[in-house]
Amino acid sequence: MSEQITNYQCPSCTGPLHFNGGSGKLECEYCNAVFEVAEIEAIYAEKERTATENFNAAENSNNSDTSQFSQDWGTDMKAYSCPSCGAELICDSTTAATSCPYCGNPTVVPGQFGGALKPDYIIPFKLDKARAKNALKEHYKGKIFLPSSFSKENHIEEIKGVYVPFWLFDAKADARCVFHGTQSITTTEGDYRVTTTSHFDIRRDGTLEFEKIPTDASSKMPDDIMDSIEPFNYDELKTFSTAYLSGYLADKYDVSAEESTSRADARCRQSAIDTMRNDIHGYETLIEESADVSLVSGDVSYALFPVWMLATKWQDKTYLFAMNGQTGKLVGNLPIDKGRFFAVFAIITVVLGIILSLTGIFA
Amino acid sequence: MKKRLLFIVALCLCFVTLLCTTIFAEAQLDYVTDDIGVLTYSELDELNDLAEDLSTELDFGIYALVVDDYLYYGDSSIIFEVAKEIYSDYDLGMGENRDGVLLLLSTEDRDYSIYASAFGSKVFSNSKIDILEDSFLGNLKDDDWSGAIESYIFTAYNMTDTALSNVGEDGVYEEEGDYGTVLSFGVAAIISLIICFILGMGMKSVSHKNEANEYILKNKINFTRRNDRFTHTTVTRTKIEKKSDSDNDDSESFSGSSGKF
Repeated sequence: MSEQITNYQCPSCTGPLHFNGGSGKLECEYCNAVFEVAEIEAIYAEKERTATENFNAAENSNNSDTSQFSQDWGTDMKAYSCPSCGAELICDSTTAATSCPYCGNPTVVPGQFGGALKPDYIIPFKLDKARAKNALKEHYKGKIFLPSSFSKENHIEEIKGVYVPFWLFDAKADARCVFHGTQSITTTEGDYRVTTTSHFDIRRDGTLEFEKIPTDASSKMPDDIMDSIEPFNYDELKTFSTAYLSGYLADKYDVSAEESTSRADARCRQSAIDTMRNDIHGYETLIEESADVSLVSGDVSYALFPVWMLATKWQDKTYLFAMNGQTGKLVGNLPIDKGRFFAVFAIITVVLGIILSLTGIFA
Repeated sequence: MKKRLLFIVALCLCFVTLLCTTIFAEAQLDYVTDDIGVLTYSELDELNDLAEDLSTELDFGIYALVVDDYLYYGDSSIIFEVAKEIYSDYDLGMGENRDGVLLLLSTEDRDYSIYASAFGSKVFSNSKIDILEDSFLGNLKDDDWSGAIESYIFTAYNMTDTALSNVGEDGVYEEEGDYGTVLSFGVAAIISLIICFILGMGMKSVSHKNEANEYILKNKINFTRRNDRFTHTTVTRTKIEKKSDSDNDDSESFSGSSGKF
């Protein structure tokens, strides 16, 4: 079990280093020393290269520990040795960064991101775990239908910072759209109300370009949740370095770019039609009659984006929340208290009914 | 001589025509009229007195007419139209607007019709006329003519009396069962449901994205064709309903129903 994983240790005291999203630097928990990412990268470059070579060699020779798990654990598992305490780490085959369950030290598997598997970009974590917990509390506020026991009784079962793999698609769209629009004028002639409606055939053709449409590349992450925490601020995209992973979880992609293309294409197509439609003004009704959108795929980039995943349990059901680790946008569906729903419905109905009755609008 | 004879005949014809017209114009139906004798004299007298007393009390005519075949009493083949014709021809109803209600029973094919005029149309609206029908149809099916007419008279009296108590000082009738209130609460319920739905939507923050508007390069949008072409015009005419049409012209308003027993 040659060393395939790396853990970043403090050059001063050999304590574990964690990437701090707030400072954007690696920090030592023991001696509080702070290091630039580039500084640690330079120190660990050789170690990472060795770990990657070992990882690839193990993959190629098929003598890696995977074989020994193929019988007992299935081929989706891999085993590594913790460089700090020597404990055996059993991980998913896609795991790229994790923590040792015995010594707690952050570990990175550089081989998962070696060669062609290396991401182009990474957005480092900017918000910490405390912000994620606060964001969840804020998420509960103002939700009139939220069962009171949900916010009181439920506890965060698990909170983890994960670098989620994303494909970023560039594309060019050529759209040709036809709409039917109407304009109406109403006049009164004697006892009749006369409405004259003018009908128009409206055509809009055009081209538009998209840059870096994100599509999550991990089958473990629900697509709708990943869609909902968008957008990420691309101004903070950085060239990928494994040093950013220290202290967080990370997976390599297990959904290929080809498999993800259809999702990105569908979004491009809809946006192209919306853009053509939004260019039309001055009509009372506008109905899409036909839309022909041709897409030309551009560059595809591979990136890791920061996401805080929070899982809570209430009445034996797990509720999953996700927070954008860069912008702080938190999403997650909440349960509805049916009793509260009908109580609010009844109160509004009675109050509004009395007001309407008193005003005599419908008398 | 011949001329004189023709003149006398013509004069006689004119006199007869004039006499008939006068008699027809002055013809009056009793409150309860039985043209075929399904009621005994005493029953007829009692019912007639009852209808007259109650009608006078309310200033609202309550009439019942039993005929063998309604087709002989009007120009229409529809019993409701005939009832309407009789009500008009015999100048039924009381008060300025000829308020009242007529029950026409035709024994030939066991047909019946109710015709309510002026204020009667408000008392016996579509939703209420069923109550009046139910009050006498059971007796009619048992050929209890007297019981049927008596029940009809009392039910019509009670319903009219109740309706009159809903007439405000301004003379405007407020229909029993305040539809304004019902409508207010119906609208309130719909608005409440929409509000609750919007609040409920706030509980769901997860959904698939179906557009990529945030990733469009703003300086890379080029329109190659913008063409708005007029094709045709359509015109629709809608009659403007005037509220006064139904509210003020009581003399021409009526309601009713018909069927078989």
